[in-house]
Amino acid sequence: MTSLPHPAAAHAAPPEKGALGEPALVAAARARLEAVTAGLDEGHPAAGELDVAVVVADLDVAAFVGGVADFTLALPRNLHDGWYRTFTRTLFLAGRPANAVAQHRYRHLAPGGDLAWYGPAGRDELRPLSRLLRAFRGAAPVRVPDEPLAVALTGPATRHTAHAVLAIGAVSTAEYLVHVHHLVAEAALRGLLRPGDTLRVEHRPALAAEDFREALDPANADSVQTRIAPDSTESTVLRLYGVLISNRP
Amino acid sequence: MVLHALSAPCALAQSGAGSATELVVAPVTITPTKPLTPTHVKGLVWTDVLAKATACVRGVRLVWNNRMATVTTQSAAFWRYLDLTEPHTDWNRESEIRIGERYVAFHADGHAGDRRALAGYLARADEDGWIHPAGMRMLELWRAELALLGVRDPGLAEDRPLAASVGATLAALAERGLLVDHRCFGGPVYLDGTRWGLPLRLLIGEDGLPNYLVPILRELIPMIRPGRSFLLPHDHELTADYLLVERVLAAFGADVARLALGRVPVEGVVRSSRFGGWSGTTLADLSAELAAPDQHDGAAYRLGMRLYFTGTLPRHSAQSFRMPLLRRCVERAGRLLEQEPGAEHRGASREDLQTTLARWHNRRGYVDPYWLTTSLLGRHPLPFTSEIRAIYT
Repeated sequence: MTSLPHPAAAHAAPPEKGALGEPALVAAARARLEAVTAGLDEGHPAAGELDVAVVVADLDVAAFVGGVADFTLALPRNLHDGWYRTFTRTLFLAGRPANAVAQHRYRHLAPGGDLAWYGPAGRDELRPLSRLLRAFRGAAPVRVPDEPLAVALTGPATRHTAHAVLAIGAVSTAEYLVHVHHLVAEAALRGLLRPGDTLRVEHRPALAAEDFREALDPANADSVQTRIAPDSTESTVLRLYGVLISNRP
Repeated sequence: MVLHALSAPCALAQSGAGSATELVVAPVTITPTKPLTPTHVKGLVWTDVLAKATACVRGVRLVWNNRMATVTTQSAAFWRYLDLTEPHTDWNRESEIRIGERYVAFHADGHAGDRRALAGYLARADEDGWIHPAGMRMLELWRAELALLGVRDPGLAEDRPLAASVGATLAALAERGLLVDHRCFGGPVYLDGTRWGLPLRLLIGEDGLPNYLVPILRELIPMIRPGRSFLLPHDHELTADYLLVERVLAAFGADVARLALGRVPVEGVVRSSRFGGWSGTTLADLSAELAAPDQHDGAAYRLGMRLYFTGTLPRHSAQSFRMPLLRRCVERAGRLLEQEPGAEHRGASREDLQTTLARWHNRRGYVDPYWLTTSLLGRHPLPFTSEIRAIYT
């Protein structure tokens, strides 16, 4: 069983260049690339590339995390593969869902009404919405609750809990939205999250690859979703931005 | 709040004096950084004739606050450039052309500059009414030209704070769901007119600097009250922004109309004054050529300029500036002014004028300068009465 390392074991700062964990990150990133290229084996092969747009008026982290999962889990299966194969490409737009709805009907609205999801759809279909709104810009460091979150996903309770740990050190609000959206959406498309699950979310300044050796091992990929991307402060270095583990019996 | 209530220029005003409603005319302000070009003159003359003619049938107030133009990054960036490049220049001795040449050079240099440094300039302009000496000089030169042109000074020499603070204005917009405020994420602030299908419009950048729409909203929103309607004359190029301003003011309960005026191309080219190309066509150039030789103490110049800019250039006109036609308009003005006093009642009667003004006012809420001016020039012209003289000279 894959498990999360104890917070005390996590490094307090982003890993240094060329850190020991790098080969593990490369291996995990490659495993994700291969999985996405292969697509989802659900009997609904992608007809074309699909994108998602999220309209952001305000950010409540729990509403956002829950919203990504609920939106993804409620999608018709025929839309899964087309979005998965674009690496769950998502456009974040500044706007107020309540106002934009007169022109564009959303597929999912987070509780509170400050976040709305559109698509998955072809890029042309989302273009009128993106022309009406503006790309979300949030360069300030993301602010998250101090305590871990327990996000209950919509659906009859399953009593299953998945665990996510997210890096926030030197992560802007805009970057946080991107990383978390990919992590949770892909986990939901791959069946690691299901309706009624609980997703426990913990934030840490940084996630050191050596602390997640087990989770990063491609042999455990069936129960793990990772978010690995070039470090925003040093683009030639990969950084671990998120890990989601779901050990379903 | 200090506003310019127009006293009606004509005896007809009595009929409108009892009107319960008031028209607030709020033209887009011009940053005092460059000479007045034919496009500016068209806007000024249209607004002047409109306000004076409409004041014959209803109450009119003209809104002009220099800070709507000076609390903008356009002005601040130019003035910072002048401080950096010419800290010792005595601007009181400079001509508008020479100041305008600096403005063109500033834009040619691609001066986005250090936007953070502009915050101090904006704060001084906003809090203290500060205007760079080059801007003060430009306003002084404009006032002299507008006096010559008979355009009532809309308030170029006055200073007053904008009616509401940035904070109060944003709070009022947010309360009505008209704002997307992402400052807490390090992002911008947008005006949200998406409910009307209008795209999100930036108000305050990520750097915290407001754009020119912010002082407009700060000044106009607090003026909204029952019994007042608003008319917003603006450049045609600003239509997208002004559509949004119109809707936003309406959302606060205002009765609003816009008047989009097409720019006046020079030699077939419409361009922003930041690129220059105004040589020989600035208001000072026109007055030097046409007002000085005027045998009617400048009245033929004033009337001729109005005949040209409001009578031959319809609101959406794309016609290039034509000096020969303007000259003919001034000559024609001279002939109109020379009519013997009894001639003014030939053709249509004075009552016809009153009826006509009231009819136009009823249709749009204001008297359209193009309609009025062309009515003076047709085969059966309105009489060139003392009231018309007061409006046009």
